[in-house]
Amino acid sequence: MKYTWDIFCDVIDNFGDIGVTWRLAKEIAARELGAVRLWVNDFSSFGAMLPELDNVTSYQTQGVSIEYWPNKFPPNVVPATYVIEAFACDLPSSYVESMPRETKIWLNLEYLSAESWVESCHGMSSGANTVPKYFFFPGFTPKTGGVIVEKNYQSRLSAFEPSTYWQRQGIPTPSSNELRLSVFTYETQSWHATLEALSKVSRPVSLIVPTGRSLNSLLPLFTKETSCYKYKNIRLYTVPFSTQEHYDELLWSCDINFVRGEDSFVRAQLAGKPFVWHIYKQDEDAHLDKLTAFLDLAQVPSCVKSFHVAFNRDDLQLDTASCLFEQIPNWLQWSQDWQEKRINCEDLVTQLVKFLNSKV
Amino acid sequence: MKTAQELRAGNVISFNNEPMIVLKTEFNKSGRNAAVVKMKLKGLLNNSGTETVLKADEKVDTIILDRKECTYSYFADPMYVFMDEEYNQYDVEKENLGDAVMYIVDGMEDKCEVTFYNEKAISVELPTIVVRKVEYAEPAARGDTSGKVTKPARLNTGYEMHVPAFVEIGDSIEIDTRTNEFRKRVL
Repeated sequence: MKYTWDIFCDVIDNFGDIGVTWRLAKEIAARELGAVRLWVNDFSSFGAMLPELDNVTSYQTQGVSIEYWPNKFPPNVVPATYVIEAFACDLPSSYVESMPRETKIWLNLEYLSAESWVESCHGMSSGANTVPKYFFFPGFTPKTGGVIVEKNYQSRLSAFEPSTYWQRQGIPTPSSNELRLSVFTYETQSWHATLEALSKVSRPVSLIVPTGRSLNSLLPLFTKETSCYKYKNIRLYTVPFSTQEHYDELLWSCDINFVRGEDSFVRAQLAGKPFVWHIYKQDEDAHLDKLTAFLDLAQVPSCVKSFHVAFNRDDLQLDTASCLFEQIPNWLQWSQDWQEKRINCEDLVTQLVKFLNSKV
Repeated sequence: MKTAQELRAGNVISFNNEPMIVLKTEFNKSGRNAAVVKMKLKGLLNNSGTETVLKADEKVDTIILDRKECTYSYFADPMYVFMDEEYNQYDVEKENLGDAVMYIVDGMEDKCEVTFYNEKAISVELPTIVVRKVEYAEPAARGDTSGKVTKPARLNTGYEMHVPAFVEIGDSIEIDTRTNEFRKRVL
């Protein structure tokens, strides 16, 4: 039986929140699990990955109805069978009032975390509401909700040819021994040591950087050339901010991926390539607990862990960075093993549907 | 109203329009995850337990319950009757007495705290220390006064508990009602 779905996304900043909810909405629609509406209160972030949203308040694509979520929510909206508030956002009060007549289950889809406490809160009933409400935590263990992996992910990956990606971007195909990195991070001083270590790897190195905040830290260190930027043996190419599908292709095409946020972090894991996670910075370094929980759970090689911690503390030193790039074969092996685990685990949408079916 | 993160064990909240006591709270927060509070609750009216998880900033209706000092009066099957200083009588169901029922005995003079919800007596709290008589215990083990060896004993309330080996039939003993443990023998 098919149901209707409403997913609410309050865009706090950047692209993480909308990245996850957009990916989820598309996958629910792709599996033909019912009509999906995605309510988003900021189309400017979303528009970076879906330019068609310029100057509209409603748009339909890939089986999803994308709706602008205004401050004054329309009172006549009929709530869906399943309602997902992403990342603990507050639903419009008029909508909540109408939910008991229409909605079977109300979920709070939380941020992904590898911390152990997540297991004890995943699937828990939340409060006393007129509609049964539950917390749903993505995660990496069988006691959590998993991560989003599209049903067609492996077939897309297998069919992909990196040369087509480079051709489309107008960037030279990498030479045989070239080390190519994608960079999608926040600002950090850690690029100084990273670039210095990369300049010593005795291979040509290139960075592919989607337009955005990474460039704030990188460009001041580089010199402008005709078609790219240069720092010692390292070339930097900028590419436009892209759709999620094209970002996947960038990750598949590079040897190492620097990623941030939640959606790109998961995509880097699924790509099976070495990656560095630049986690969103929080007060009192709360983000570092989340980072180390992942590094410990995933049992990353020690040089990878040291690099991650230092990179995210903005105090990366040259020896730590050099150590990482000397260990690329081990790092790659770990990445491929971890990719296999993620792809073979039950994915988030499958678990979500099972969970909802068990509660209806 | 309090936020979920302000709640502490012992607070009473309205949950599904029922008074529930918070038994345990667990606060979790990391990175961008919304802070959440996991709680264990127990219904004051029916003793049913439940667990829930709330956003830390979610507002919760708290309840300040009325309490009154009373003494035990008599048992009117199936209710235990307590009386305040103005001779008002209140019936309390056995299951709402919790562990206190183990120390209820005719003629007891302990000052009890009776808790009310919507003017209905829902629970009774005994003093921290009560004194009860040992109605039956095995004979004392000769020479052992250390208190480390224990034996079962039956109080004059009918409740059975472990007491040190030196306690004898007819002794009065102090019991800690928070832990239900023997405290000392009194004259």
